[in-house]
Amino acid sequence: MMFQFENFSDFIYMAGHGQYVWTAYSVSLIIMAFIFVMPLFRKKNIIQKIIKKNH
Amino acid sequence: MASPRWFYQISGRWLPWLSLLTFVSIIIGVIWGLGFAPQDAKQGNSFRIIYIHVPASFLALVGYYIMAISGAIAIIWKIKLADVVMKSAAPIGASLTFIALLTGAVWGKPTWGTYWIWDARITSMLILFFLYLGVIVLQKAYSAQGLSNKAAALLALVGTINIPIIYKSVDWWYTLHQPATIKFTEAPSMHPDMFQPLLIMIIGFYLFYVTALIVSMRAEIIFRERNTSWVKELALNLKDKRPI
Amino acid sequence: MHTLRRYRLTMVIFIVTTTSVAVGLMSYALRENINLFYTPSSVISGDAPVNVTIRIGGMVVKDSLTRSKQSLQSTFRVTDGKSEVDVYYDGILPDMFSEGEGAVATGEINGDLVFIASSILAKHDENYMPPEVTYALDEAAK
Repeated sequence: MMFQFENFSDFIYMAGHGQYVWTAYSVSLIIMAFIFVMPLFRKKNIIQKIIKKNH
Repeated sequence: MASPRWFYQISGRWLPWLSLLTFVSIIIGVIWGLGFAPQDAKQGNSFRIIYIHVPASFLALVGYYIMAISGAIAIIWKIKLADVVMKSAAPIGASLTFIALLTGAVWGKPTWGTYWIWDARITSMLILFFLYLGVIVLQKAYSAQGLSNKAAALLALVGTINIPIIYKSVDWWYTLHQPATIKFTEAPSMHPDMFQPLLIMIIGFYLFYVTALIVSMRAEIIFRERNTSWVKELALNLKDKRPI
Repeated sequence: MHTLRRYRLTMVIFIVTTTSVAVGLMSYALRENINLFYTPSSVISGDAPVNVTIRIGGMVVKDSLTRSKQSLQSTFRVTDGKSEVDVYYDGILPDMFSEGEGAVATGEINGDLVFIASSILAKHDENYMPPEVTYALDEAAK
């Protein structure tokens, strides 16, 4: 197994397919990070409300 | 057992490990798929989109069954935790379906020559996306939570017929989309050098699904039980620490 | 099992089966419309409508592609293994388009059963292979 590209700019360009590949990967990973982090913030908010109410 | 409180406590112990495992496997899969897997003889580098497209589509379908079955359990046996699963599974499934549609469109342009076509596979996948949205909306439709959940679970159950249709659409009808590469009955029609990272990504997406579901369920449990003494106690214990 | 639970379980099973049967019958009845394209056989047999915009799909026959030297015009034949149809197209073919691969064409069948395409899409198969492996297989086949 070896790195398939000569250099970094080849890796970004991907022989013309870079725009499609990088769009697919980046948007997907951003969405995934978002659905993972959102409930953490939601939980934090709820707990802070409970703390305020019981202060 | 199987009470929301019990689940909250036990999942808290697994969560750090699951998150770490998810993160590591997806990072390995992404680096392997983007940089180290060989390109395809016909499609070139655009083929690398498969490492997101296939696992996302896979979990979008599996996730629908998880949502519908827990909806049925919630209706029949009135188990609170099943209701929490159904509610948390819907937005995760919708997001994965969206990712599948988006990566498919972006992959379609350089291979087929179009972003979109109304063939049976793609149209049924779009219907899946709307079914997920329908379940999300129905959960908020009535002011009585019990009624909303029942309506959402029924829609989820009615929609299960779409899953075998999506899966078999490429065999039953003439479509632009190609048949499945990974089959249950035979070896994948893919070179091992390309299949290994795909397997890592599928495992990574499974882990991601479980982790995201747990994180979302924990927030939902805290919300539903916000007036109980154990949640109040938990909140006050966290007051001095940074709540996660 | 509790009577009420058994009733709910029956209802759930009933709803899932009836909708499944309904959707199954509907998609069976509409199968011609759900198909994205007509096959070359249905064009030859006259099942595909003439002078109406439709799609046809099949494999591009080896050595059938001719490109005009002065313009973007090209002709090729598509086959489903039984029948072949001539396709005429004036435009840029997709990058992945090639002989021996699948293609889906949108356009009309004219009176001589020639398909006048207004757009062409490439259809690929489910097999993935690195270039060196394909090369080695091609060499071994020679």
